[in-house]
Amino acid sequence: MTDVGAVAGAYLVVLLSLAVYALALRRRTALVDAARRAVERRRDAK
Amino acid sequence: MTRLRRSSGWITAVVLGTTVAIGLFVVPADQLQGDAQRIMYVHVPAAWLAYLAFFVTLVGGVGYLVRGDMGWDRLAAASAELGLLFTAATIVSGSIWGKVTWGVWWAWDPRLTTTAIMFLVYAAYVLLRASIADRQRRARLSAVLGIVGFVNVPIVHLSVLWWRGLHQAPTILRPGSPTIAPVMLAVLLANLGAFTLAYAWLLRERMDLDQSRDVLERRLEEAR
Repeated sequence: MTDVGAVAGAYLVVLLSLAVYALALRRRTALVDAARRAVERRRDAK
Repeated sequence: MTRLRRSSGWITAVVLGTTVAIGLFVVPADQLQGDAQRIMYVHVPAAWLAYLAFFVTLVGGVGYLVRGDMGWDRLAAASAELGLLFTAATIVSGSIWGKVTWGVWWAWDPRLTTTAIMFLVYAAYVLLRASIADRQRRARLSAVLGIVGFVNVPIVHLSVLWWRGLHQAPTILRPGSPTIAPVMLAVLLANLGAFTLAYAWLLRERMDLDQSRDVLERRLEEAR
């Protein structure tokens, strides 16, 4: 492995893991909020 | 989500991108290690943030046991998950650096071994939380594990001073003055600041997710 390849690999792993985690958090929060809104709509419709 | 919250995410990304770019392209390469030393600018902040995250988990655990407030539990849980992420980033980036510098991906060196133990302890913490449905019991047991598990964190840091191994001794948090070039220290500290910003932002997002889940659970209970 070359030095440049190692540096690129290490930076990609660290930054991508942070970015993917951030996006996954956003997605999970959006799904939970959508489920809550659906429950509230059903409750209000009764 | 407010505009301020949305823009704080972008500000964090820009700050992190800038400090990372400086570490990659601006600061000179190390005289002995060459470009491989640049890995230090992400490896060391990731390791420090893992320590910080697990310390916050400890504080959250103590806070929950003393006050009984679920907010402390949410803080502890969110920080443990982030600490696990930063520990994984530390291990992988360190392993890549090890392959280039030592010639091996992994060695049973005291620092590496204690870091692997730290990862397993907090992986157990996350699994424990996932396996208990009752909120109070989950919070109580994970608070205990978060407090007991932190015992290993100072051992990880001090392992390079206590035992001989491949991993280099501390260059900043050590007895005496730092043994690092001032320009490299400045870039390292800038990256540490940017990673801390990213941690704070992710922590807030993760706590918001838990809060949203709690609200959903309450709505579902009300609907039954």
